[in-house]
Amino acid sequence: MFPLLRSVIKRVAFAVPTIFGVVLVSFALTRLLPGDPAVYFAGAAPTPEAIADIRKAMLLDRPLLEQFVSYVVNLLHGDLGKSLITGQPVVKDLAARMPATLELTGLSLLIALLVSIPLGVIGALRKGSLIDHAARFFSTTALSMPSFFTGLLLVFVFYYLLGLAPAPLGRIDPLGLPPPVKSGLIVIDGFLAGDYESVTDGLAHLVLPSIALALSGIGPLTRITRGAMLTVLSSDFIRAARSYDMPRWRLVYVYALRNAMLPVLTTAGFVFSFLISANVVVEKVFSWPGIGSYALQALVASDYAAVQGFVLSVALLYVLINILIDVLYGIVDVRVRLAE
Amino acid sequence: MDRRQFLELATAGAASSLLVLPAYGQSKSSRIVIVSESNSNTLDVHTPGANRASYGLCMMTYDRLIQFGTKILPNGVPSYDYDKLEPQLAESWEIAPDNSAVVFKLKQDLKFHDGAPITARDVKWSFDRFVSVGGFPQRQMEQVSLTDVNQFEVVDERTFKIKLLKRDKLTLPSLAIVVPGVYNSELCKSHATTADPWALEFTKINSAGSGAYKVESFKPDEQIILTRFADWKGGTLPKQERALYRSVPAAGTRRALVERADADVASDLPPRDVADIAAAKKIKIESAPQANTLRYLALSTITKPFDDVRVRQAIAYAIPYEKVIESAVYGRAKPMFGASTDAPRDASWPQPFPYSHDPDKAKALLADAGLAGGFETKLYFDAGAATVDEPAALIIQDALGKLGVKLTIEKIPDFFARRSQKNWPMAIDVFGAWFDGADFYFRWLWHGQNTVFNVASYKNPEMDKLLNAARQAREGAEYESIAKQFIKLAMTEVPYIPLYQPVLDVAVQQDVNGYVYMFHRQVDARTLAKA
Repeated sequence: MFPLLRSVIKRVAFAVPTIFGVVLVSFALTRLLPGDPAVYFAGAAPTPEAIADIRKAMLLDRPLLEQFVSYVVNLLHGDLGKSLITGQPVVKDLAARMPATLELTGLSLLIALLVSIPLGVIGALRKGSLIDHAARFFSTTALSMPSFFTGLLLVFVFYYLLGLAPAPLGRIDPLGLPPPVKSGLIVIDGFLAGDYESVTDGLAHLVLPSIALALSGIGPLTRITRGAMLTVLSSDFIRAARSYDMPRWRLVYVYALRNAMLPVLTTAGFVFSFLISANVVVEKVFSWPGIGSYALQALVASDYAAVQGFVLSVALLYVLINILIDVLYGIVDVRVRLAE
Repeated sequence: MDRRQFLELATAGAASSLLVLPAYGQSKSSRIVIVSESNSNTLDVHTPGANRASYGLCMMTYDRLIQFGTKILPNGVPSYDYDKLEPQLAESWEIAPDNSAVVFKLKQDLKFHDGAPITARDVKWSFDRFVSVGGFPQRQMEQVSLTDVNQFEVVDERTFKIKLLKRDKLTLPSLAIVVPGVYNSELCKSHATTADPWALEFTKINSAGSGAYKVESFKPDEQIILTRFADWKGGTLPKQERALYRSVPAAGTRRALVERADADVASDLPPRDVADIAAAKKIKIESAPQANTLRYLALSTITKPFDDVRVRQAIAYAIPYEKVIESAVYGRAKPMFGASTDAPRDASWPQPFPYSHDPDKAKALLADAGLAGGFETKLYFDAGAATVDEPAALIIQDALGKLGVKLTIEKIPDFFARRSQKNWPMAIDVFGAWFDGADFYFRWLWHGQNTVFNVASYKNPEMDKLLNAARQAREGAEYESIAKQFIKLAMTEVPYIPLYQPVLDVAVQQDVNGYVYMFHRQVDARTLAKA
């Protein structure tokens, strides 16, 4: 385990300049936006005095360099500033919303993997068969439908027409009491508290948005799985295994699939990052209180602190996922571990 | 099996494999669920950055000395009445004969939500607060001649006096708007710090008032739950014990919720959805023309060729108003075009402008200005209002194209934040004033003080002179004559071409009664009752 730890530390160290770059770019980009947040927030009587009041309260009257330095100093103290839209500290906002986004994105990725790995494997095993074409058709269609559209379609059918799904109003029934917050994920917190009503309610609310989101991840994952499986299946060691008359299931699922997992893992990392951005629209359709809908609103209002906080937290998430995937590489593939 | 049946079967099959629960319903009749595009971002309108939804919320959680009465609009929808002031915390008030002061007598046994008694000291502290905190509350009340802490005086426990600096017809009605709420001064002071002497940090997330509803739970941008305050003395106790305000950003979702009866009231619906719901007749649509509000086309008077009044008039004659109203808002608006004479009929506002769709006149005016060959320019609008402004922009583009004017349309996501730059040749914008009366409205758009709303950068010394004079007069025949003059000037100069007066539509379930249109344009739960 020791070399693994060392490689993790090395990667974290490499991530520091990346994060600083993100901080700098997000700061510069929000300032480059043509909007003026002071005007936006000056209320129903935006006289020049009212605008000046807000500008002063937001420190926007200071030179840019000074604003940046104070932003970075605050960052080092874990202070991301205050959002004007919610009126709360950005850290608090993001911390409250992050579990909702992670719960949704995580479940979507799980669904996408559960659907696309079997599809990809079958496609590779029966290349050119009807089922291969059907799988390709399905994954291409899923990829080409924008997720807000699939989201609305699912709401229309399962909530509006059939009444099977709960109202698309966030994570839990409006009057339901969420379980005490431990992990922030309602389903897990529900289990921890033995509150199975919350578990089923939370899951019921998760089903439609996570399917809407998962659909956009199924396409790339199926294709990569299929391609990787094809390569592995035609490689020497599989041919050798075949000649030893190894049982087919063992050959496919233990030797071939495990070796094909590397590109699938990489893609899963990409897909996860991609799903977090696709979240923005799905969250809107389902009134999901995640960081995506938060960022969208903040951007429209030129709410600098909130936008920067969002960019930074997503960047941190990307870095974390990349480290996690690198670690998983080592576990899945001995060669990677030996090369370290 | 037809296509529909097949779809139903197929989807039902798919659905049965999902983990789904039957519809949720727990004590639905005691609570009322209101869905809107966004919720309040603060519990106190005095905090910087308070959004429009917070105005509606604070009307329910805080009381004022006085409140607006109600009247019935011509279409049968009840509305607030700007001209009728009723007691809320004050049981009576008296204006000094020389107009130098107004004295309020508070009702007996008034209590805040925490049980503390309400005294004139609380009123004084609250009024001192809004003239001192800066930002929206202070600037708003400056407009109505309330500027100085020395204007407010505690006479005794139940008597409060405001010294009036000058005769201003806006002062008294302003005490019924959202800013001058009465705050629990002892509670607030106990949370004040030297950096935050008015305890804004505290009131932002804690309610310290005496309103009809108490805040039970506040999750900015998710849900706000209000519970009735049993000891409320400000008016008739609300019928609903609880009110849930849900923020539902997607319009399609809001419509689905109200059609499935999971929401009792839905606001901020696009006109198309409103028209559909109204046609289906299963859900009531309560409509009220938005008081003192116009949607207009602004022409930048500092940008060529709109610095020429003939070009502006040409544009005003080129717009097919009826078509705009039909496609932008499905006819759900009050027309503001086609007045028969170019003299204003009276001092009322808004009133129709003397322009109608007349391409020949437009062509002649353009030729007169030396632009018979047309020109190129850009039209900006708010992406957030695209459902109504995009069709309008396209129609205007088409109509101007016929005159040789080539229009590029720009859809701006951060429209309000960028508006103050004032570098848009043409823009579709909307402005609603808090108070009735033409002079108040005009000061924001046509006055040379050049507020952020003056997208046309219009400046005219004659207009300023008239508006300043109207501010002094404000009432009576003298005001009437001045108002007619500046309205006529606005009609001739047309830096702003009214497209229509928008209507506020709210979808309300059949079993819900008591909707009242409020000046802040948010849904007020206090009067709603579920059968």
